[in-house]
Amino acid sequence: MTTAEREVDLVTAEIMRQQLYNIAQEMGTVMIRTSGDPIVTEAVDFSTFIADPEGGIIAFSGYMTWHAGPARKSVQHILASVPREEIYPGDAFICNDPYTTGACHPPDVGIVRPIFFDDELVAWCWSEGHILDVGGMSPGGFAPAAHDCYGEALRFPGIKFMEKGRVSSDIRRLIDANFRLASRNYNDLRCFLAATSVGERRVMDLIARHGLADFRRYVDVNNHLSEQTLRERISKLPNKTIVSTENVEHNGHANDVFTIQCAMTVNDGTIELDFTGTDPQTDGFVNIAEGAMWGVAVTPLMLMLAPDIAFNEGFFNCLRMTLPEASLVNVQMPAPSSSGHMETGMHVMKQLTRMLSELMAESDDPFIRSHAMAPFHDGWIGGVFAGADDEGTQFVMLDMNGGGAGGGAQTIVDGMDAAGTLTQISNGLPDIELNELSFPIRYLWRRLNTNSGGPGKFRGGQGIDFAWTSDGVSLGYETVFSSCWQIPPAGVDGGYPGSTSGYQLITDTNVVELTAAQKPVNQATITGDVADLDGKQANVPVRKGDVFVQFEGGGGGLGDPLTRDPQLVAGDVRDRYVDRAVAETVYGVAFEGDTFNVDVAATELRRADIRRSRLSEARPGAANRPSRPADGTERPVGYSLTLVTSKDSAAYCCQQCGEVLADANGDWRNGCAQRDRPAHEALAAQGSWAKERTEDPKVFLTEFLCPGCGAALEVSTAVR
Amino acid sequence: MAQYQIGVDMGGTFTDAVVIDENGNLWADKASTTPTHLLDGLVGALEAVAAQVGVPLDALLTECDRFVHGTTIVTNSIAELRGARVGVLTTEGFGDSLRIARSPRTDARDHHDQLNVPDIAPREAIVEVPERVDKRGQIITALDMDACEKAIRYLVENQQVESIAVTFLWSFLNDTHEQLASNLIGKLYPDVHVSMSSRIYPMIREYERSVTTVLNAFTAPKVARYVDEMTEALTARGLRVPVAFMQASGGSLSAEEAREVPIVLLDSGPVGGVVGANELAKELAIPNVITGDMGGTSFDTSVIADNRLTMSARSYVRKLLTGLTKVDVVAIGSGGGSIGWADPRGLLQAGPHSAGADPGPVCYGRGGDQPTVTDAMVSLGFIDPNYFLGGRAKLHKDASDEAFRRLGKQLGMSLEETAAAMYRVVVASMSNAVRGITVERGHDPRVFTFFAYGGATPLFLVDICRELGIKQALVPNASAVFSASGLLASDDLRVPSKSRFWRPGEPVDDVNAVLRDLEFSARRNLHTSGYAEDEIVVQRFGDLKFQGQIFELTVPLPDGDVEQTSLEELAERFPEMYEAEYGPGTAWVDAGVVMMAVRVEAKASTRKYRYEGGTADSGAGGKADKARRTVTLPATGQQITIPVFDGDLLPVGQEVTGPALIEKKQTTIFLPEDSRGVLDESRNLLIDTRL
Repeated sequence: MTTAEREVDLVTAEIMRQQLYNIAQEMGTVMIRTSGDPIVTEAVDFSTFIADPEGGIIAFSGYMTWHAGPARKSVQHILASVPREEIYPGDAFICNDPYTTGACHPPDVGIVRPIFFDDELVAWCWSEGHILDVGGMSPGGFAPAAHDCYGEALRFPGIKFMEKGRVSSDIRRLIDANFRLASRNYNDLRCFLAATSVGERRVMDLIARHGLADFRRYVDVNNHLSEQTLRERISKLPNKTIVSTENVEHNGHANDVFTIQCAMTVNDGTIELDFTGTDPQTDGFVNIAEGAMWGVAVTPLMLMLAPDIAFNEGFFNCLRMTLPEASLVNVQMPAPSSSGHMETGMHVMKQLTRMLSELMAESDDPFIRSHAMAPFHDGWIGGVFAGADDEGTQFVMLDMNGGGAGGGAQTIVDGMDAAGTLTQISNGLPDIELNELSFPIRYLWRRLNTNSGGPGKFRGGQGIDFAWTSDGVSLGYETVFSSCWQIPPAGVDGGYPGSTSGYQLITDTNVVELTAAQKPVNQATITGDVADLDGKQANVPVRKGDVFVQFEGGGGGLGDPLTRDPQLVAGDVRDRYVDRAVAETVYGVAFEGDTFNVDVAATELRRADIRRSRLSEARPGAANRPSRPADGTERPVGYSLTLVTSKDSAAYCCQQCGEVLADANGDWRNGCAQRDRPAHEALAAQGSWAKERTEDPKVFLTEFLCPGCGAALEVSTAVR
Repeated sequence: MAQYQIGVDMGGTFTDAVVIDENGNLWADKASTTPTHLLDGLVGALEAVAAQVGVPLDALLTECDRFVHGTTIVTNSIAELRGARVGVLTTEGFGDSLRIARSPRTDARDHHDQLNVPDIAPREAIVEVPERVDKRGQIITALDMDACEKAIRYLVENQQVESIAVTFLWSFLNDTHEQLASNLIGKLYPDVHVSMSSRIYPMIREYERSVTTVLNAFTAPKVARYVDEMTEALTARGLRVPVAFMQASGGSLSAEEAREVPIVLLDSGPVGGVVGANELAKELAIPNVITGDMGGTSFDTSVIADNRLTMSARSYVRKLLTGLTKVDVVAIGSGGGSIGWADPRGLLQAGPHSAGADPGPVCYGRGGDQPTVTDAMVSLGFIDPNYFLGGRAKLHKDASDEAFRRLGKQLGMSLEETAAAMYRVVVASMSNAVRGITVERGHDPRVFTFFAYGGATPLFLVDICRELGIKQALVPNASAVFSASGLLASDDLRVPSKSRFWRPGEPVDDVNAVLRDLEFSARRNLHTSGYAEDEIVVQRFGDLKFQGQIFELTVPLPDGDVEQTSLEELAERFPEMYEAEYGPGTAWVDAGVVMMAVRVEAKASTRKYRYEGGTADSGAGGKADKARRTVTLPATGQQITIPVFDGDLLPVGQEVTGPALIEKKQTTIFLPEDSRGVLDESRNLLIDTRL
């Protein structure tokens, strides 16, 4: 703490932080209460924030953590493009342009308002949410068929929605001319504007009470305290650089594979992310803009490393990023980006979760170690059903059941089921009856997707599995987009990947006949032709009686499944989270007959067998492994490794059997035996699913095994 | 012979009993709650209060003409996940709804706090049966009776459930299948409790309906046992009137009904105080009230506007979303037992962890070593360690001081600074909570009076008011037992509701049929509870919204059958009602209006004895201005000596000017500088905060 901070009243600083956070929350409450849009009210896909005059975040409601990136970018862009003397009290700007205001994608529309006190610009506030349509070639704003950004949507690069308290009629007319659900969309914008009005009023009241000088001082103190505390937290991670590769699949046109290359360096309280080596941008909708990338990058810091530290601009001061221009992670016009956050963004999220977990597992701080986690499934499994019903009424259903994939396993507990993506901390799935009432469909089932969570000492959370048939629509069209279809989400620390997500359409069915006869309609009774849809596929015809099936994958596992408490596995079987066969072959648990009682002795034998058979199918690792440091001190690294340090040397060893893997300065994976299997086969063997990739490059699952005992130390996916 | 009314408020720690007689005298006492056998605590509290009255318990009960019971039995059963082993029958394909829980994510940033919702029913006791009703209420898959019987036998024989929830899709439009399944359970196993979703909560939204029904099944056997035991024991002791239970909706209902639908008792704990506050406010002609009740672990606050309680629909319990409509009482984790700690940034925080009743604050000397809010008030000199609970317990100020010295070291502050900071942080948290239910919902706190009751609130009262711009506050007489006496201020209430869709242009026959059904059942239940037709007041409501929106607004409907034209007129006026609630410009003027549900509120006024307040206890012979004490003012850290008044001896009408303390047996009131307090005729302390 500096002398200056000593002199300010820290109690007042904390009270003001609470008051500012309350304002951001209140803006959110206004959005929920005044919006009718289920994306806002039920899925809680929105955010609100308050910023300093330069756009630095003071308080952020954080319903969607990654909106923090676009939020500050919007203010920065307005400041850079609008002369200061043309920004007046009573102005509000509209922003949804990934290329200038950093939006995650154009349907995320933000309203940004400057706040004046005694004629001086003293702060900004914003409210932003996902609205149902923004024009462009695809209803709903996700445009897998777009080759450039011009066809994707109408974009507002931070222009005036309101000036001096007068709402622009030009914007209204522009929206009427371009958006499919213009009046409904405009109602949403009204609600965002209402939220900023409340924010403006409250911030002005707060400044009036504290005085402008104190307001500024305490905002600075808070930012500085968060920055300093986060730096201290980061300094408890090992100072080193780790690198990793992640792959984006299918750009909407072609089933290509794209590479994201990331080097993460921890350096004196700063985290540097260098994406040099990442593929150039592509002509499909998977590229992400720089503004959104900041939101992606800060999310794992907010949710894993520092969930207990007040979030504000101080966080960004601890983060540096190198984003090569015109690449997947820093898109430039005209390359499209309408699903950039959900494609490249989600993959980067998984990559950063894995990398940060690896570093966190090695910290000597127990809080940090325990907050490592496996990646979420981190795919929002999109499905849009659109058309006209039999009475001629147009409908667009973005099924928010897309947020039903599994969460990542934690160090203390299994991952959350139906968690959605990491960034959606307040995620909500639709109510079956409300969705049926609102849209012309009837659900046939919605259950957890058994075996979908990645196996591990702690399991990944399960995704959901649902099906519907149309109700009162002879012919409609379904557009699907899953970012995680062929390449499974990895586990960490020896945990296995979760399953991927996909879609099927069953045509020529007996559903109409079954229903007419009041017979059950379920997986066993439905007959017809079953076809797998592609991970991304637009405008698939859905006729009366057809059945659309969507199954969503799980999160990654954490720790070798052979170390999971057999009683927990028995509970999983009893509770139908895991099939009995998977419990036996993947978790190595033996039961007494058909019961749920664990045969302890047989389980030990079976687990030893599985370890042996893993090794028998693996190629050996480096032959010249060092010897174990003599009289070294031992420190656990996650659940799989031990770092043994003596006076002259340090080495990574297997936590199960003590076998030395590699010198601490090298990559311990080099000392491991490695087993490679095609991903779809490996996933089938664990009772789950990944779409087989038939074209090159192929997807593999690689197990890094202890050469001594066959323990799984890391299981990764790779594309070759 | 005197006539009595008895209110019993059974909390997690104490059971409070209050007796008021027809002359307006009030007696109160308490006993420890006995979780393993609740009846013991109830009888203990009744015996204690009977002793205060000076009559044997049997005589008290025999002469009792109204007995109202508030209890946390349902709340605690769910909070502790201790209830019946429950089985669930669901529609085939949807057996995982409770686990999917519409996604269990919360706004917690720490993923260790992001966990699946707890299994109220064990997964292996949730059985899907083939059946399906569609959104038009038509059966499209017939209920498979053989599968149903097999499922029921499995649940009872194999899973040993004692209670079954039947919860099928769209059953609120067509309950044929739920009736068939429930009848079958009754035929096969008459002793098994059945909760049917179309009866417990016949409203759209399958998840909330299921959760509400399953929680009802979870708590029903325990409540049934308690109700039966209690009725038997109290009747044997001479009670001649039925016991009424307080509901979360703000009125009471019969024990018989509580036995069948115990879920309506959920979170009814704080309701007695709010109802009591509103009745008192009406007597004093105060229309707008904010209530505040700081207990050991939480601060509960609610808003009364124009003498109407604020209701909240679709309430959460734990992490479970229910369909319950409750008096909206917001609780935050700031109580007397809330623990002070240094966060990672080195800033002081208070709560939400609480030292609870055991070990309790450090000053209790029962092993607690982390400083609490109560300790801060002892260290600052506001609570007299020798006059706690009217001198019945001694507190250890040294231990509080030592704990703050330790915490202060981490924060770089002195003991007094740390304790003062604790006061300020807690006042900020409570003010934020009050701001959340007033300013954030469009109420201007400046036109409200703050009613503070419960043991600890009056210490913080004036500073909270000043933070929010509230000019007037009130500490009711007998504020420490205000929640229990508030039970006796309640009316009997039935609030049935049912989803029924209607839009302009459609006939209203079906709407009227449902309204008649709801009103009939509400009246019948009130008759059964002993009310005559002319004591019952009925109001009908409709839940309207704009097409495409998610949230409905409840608006009054005319009495009797509605005409299609009058309902259409209501739909036309809906945008202005909506904007009155949500603000100008928020109505979806170009979207159509739809009605989603109808409700009936049937209220039977009860005969109430009013507490007259008694007179100053001059017999004790002391003087009101009893002492002077040195305290540390939290705002400035300044130490000053202020007068201490005995609240039981202070004459009516005498103004006390702050800074001053007014001590009563279970409450201490702090009047900061410039604020003024004066007792009214009923010995309620009215405070002018002198903003």
